[in-house]
Amino acid sequence: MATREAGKKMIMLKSPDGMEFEVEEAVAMESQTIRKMIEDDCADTAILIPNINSKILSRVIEYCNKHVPTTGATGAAASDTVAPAALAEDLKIWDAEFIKVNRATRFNLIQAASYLNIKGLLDLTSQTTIDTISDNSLEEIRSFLSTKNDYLPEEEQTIRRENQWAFQ
Amino acid sequence: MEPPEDGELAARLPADVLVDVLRRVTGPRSLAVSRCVCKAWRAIIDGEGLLRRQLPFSAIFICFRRLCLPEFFSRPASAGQPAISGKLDFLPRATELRPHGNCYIEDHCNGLLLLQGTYIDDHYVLNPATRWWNTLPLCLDNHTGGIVRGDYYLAFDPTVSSHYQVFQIPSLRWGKDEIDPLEETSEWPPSPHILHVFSSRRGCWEERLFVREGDAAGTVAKARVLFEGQQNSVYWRGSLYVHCQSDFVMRISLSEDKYSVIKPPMDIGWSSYLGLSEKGVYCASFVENTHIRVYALTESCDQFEWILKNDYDLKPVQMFDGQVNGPWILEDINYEKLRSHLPNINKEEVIQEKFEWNSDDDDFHENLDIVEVQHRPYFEIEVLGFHPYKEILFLSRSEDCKLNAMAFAYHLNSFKVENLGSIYPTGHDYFSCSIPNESHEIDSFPYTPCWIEETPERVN
Repeated sequence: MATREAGKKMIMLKSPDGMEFEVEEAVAMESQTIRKMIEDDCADTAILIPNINSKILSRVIEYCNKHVPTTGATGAAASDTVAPAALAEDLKIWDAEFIKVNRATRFNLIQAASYLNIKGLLDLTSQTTIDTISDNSLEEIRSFLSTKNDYLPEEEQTIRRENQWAFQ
Repeated sequence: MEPPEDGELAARLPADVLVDVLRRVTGPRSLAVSRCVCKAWRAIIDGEGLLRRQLPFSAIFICFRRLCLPEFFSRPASAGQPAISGKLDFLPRATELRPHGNCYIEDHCNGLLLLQGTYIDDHYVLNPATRWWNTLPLCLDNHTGGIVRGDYYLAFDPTVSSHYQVFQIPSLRWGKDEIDPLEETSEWPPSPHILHVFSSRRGCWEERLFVREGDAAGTVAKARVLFEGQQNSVYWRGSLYVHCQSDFVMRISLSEDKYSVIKPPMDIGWSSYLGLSEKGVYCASFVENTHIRVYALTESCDQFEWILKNDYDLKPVQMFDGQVNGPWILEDINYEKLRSHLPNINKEEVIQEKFEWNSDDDDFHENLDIVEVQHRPYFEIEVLGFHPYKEILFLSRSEDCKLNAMAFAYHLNSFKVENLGSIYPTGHDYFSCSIPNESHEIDSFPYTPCWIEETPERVN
């Protein structure tokens, strides 16, 4: 976890269930939504993140902590000693571990990544969902995503006919 | 503690988040299946036009002059892309075998084809990917004097609308027979120019007036020449570019009811081919059988200019001396259809080797076998088309009755030449009775499948 260091600006993030998270500004700015708030000077005290509970928010912060660029003035020593390729490989392994969560958490993370506009996290969380779509039949997709089929039987017949080529 | 695994997970995502996720889905098949998952998904996929954006380049339709049906020359299917067939057998009447009846493709635009069936005046607009089709009513026009009925051209952009338009561009009677002297000296094309346009939205043909901006191409007398080669059109950024007699290009602005004449490059060669590629409108023309010249059209402040991209030496194509099966494959549609009528021909088994077509990479490493032989056969080279998204020109090479006909990809930036495979239709010798002496034997169109879901109502 990031520790508070002298000279680093800290930002307070609040979840709707009342938890507060103090994070480095650079980490918080991994989110384009928060970056915009900070740049527009709307972030004097604490930023309330609506719709994202503390559990999910803490995971999001964990992700941003890991992915914040470590080069430049605020950089940690890691980038000076580790080759970029090795660093990228390390991140990939870390991501793969990070995304080992149940489906409900993953959907919450997708939602959070989308709201906070964190491209890397959205890519990561969406990808597993997309893989499901790419490799499975319609019934498997519905069951895997626990999506209710709200078509009437005749509607489903029509729409399947429209896209018949995809089922051949 | 993880949240409980309760139902309707995907339904919990707000629409804008779902858009983010579905945007990442690649491949038309996955998108089409996703469309059937639930109403919310369909609404997003249709609303965002996600399926419409899938227009990968995958094949070339080739109409051999003496074959009954168009042939389909396609690259190996890649993951996520359903294999497409060029067989148009979902149109039984159009592809019916008839003596002297040829089914050929008149135009292609963003996944839609305009087809002339084997019955005279039987025209269709169709989508081979989704097997959707519609008959095109006959255009009842009354051209007189030197103007004759011209060809049909398609204008269709699935990212803008699911509707299409068909333009009939009049051409001039060529030859020595006399027409009214007054007409001979009048300018061509006239302004306003009356064009017959079919709109799928209205379901009928109508006359539309197009006013010319800038100069005419010349007089009727000068424009009344025989056109050699394939008369193509390109639909790009809301304008239809039509390759006309005497090699000028008519640029029709669909929304403004205007048109302009783009004169051919000064040093244009012969048998020029108009096509769409990476940066827009391109033109290729042959110079003395040994080179092909490629131009790109630039436009600034309503001024059009053909910029010479380069002169390309045809020697690597002429001298190629190898036998290649694939990676691209000719579907052999005519052979399949006519097999029962033909003498017993043993079709060579095409072995799918390890080939991966790599014209999508610019840095492929392939050396063609070029062998200097003293008595080489003379090969006829024709343009098959431009790669729609990359600066690559496709060429065909053939000798004597299309024996040994092959297709090549000429990379216009690296000057590299790649052999794509044989385009010789099995049994072609039996389909024709004479040795061809025409320079122009084939019409062809690079094809980009369109997985458009909603299409206009069929006109009965």
